[in-house]
Amino acid sequence: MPRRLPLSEHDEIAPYGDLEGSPPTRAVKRAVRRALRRHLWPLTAQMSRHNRAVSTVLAAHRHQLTWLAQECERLRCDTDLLGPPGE
Amino acid sequence: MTGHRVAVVVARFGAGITGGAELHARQVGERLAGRGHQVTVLTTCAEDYVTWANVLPAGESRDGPLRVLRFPVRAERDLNRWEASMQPILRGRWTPDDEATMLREQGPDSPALLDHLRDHADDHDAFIFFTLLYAPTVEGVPLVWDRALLVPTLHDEPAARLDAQARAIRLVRRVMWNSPEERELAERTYDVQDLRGEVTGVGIEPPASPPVAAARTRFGLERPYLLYAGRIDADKGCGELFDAFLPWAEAGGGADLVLAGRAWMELPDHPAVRHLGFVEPADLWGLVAGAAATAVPSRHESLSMIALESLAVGTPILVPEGSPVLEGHVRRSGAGIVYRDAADLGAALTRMLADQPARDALGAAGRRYVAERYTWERVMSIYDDAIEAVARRRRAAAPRL
Repeated sequence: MPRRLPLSEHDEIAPYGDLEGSPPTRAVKRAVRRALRRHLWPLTAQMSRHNRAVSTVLAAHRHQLTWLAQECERLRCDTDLLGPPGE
Repeated sequence: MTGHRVAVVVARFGAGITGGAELHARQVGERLAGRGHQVTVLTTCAEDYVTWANVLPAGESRDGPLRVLRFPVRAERDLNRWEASMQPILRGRWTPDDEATMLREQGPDSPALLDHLRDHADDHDAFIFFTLLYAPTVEGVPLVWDRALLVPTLHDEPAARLDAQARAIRLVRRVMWNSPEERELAERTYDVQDLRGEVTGVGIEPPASPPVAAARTRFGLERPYLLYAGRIDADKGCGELFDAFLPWAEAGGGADLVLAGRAWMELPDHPAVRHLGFVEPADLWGLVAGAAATAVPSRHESLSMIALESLAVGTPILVPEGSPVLEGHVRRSGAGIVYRDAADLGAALTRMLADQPARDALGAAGRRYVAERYTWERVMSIYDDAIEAVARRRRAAAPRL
């Protein structure tokens, strides 16, 4: 089974990717990125905040699911010990 | 009631092993044997809880009335790997895989012990697991849940907050709590309010006349002393105790600090600090009874036998603020003092030395507290009831989980 990694609440969405291509291409990309900076950075920051909130909710849900699974198992065990009806 | 086949499952067991849970397991096991049960101790070959190195021979042996089966530990604890495995737990976000890794790295990792539980479950009518923290309990309880009793010896620590531990404590048929505070901690930690079981604890039976003079002579103790008995370890609050005691002693406090137990930390080189090493139980009663007070500085206790032994012989206890179990003992008994800081500890110790009537009143309250609540007859009748109940109600079929 693949290992499930927890969401890290500190992960941030970067407003820019790696600069690739020839030097002139990278220069153009850098200029575009700089020009869009005031527009993109608030958006990615908002997405990061949203992801952090989702991460917190998922952790709470995971805890609840674990709790419910444990309570189910406990009830099943208790029922097992009761024996057949009428006994 | 007829004698039952009872297994005591504990991470370590042996003559020289004096940890609280291990001693508790021995006392309960020996008394169960004395009440007609056939008791088998299932444990590992480890002698120390840091490395879990296989020191004692694997296989069957006798220890007084107890049959002991020891199983090897697969690997000694690698402290670096264990610390790394603790990081997700300390951060508060972890997966089931993280839990499994942490439990394995924490140890004792003894697949042979778990195999025995799985393959020989029907050889026993009841299993009493000691200490919820470690893998033999966490992984062993689900194998024999229908006849499992648990003495959790629970402390408030990150390593005790795993889902696997919550599962184990839910599955056992009864929990033998050491104190009401321990039960409250479990209810908070594992988010469950209706765990079966009752506050059981241990019995404390002090000798009628503790050998105070003999202990003083034997260890050359001429001045009044504050006693600390048990594992001398930073985890037990000993560093804070030294930090609080030494300034008081330097200022002419008028008493020594006597340390009885094996040291797992560097001890202060000071004439008022006396380290006696391991002390035989008979001598320890004399030491406890002869002390001006007993310091119990640990904030991680589920019962504290030394606190109860001290109260039983009329020696007041000094406990730190922030230890719910010890504060509970002081609150219920009225036989101790809770200190906040070094100045508080010094003032309490000065009072114990200077105000004999006050000390005697505390001592009398402590004797009453232990005599009313901590008798072996009461404790063992609770164990007998629990064993009888699981033996009667256990499933006919083999474990299914």
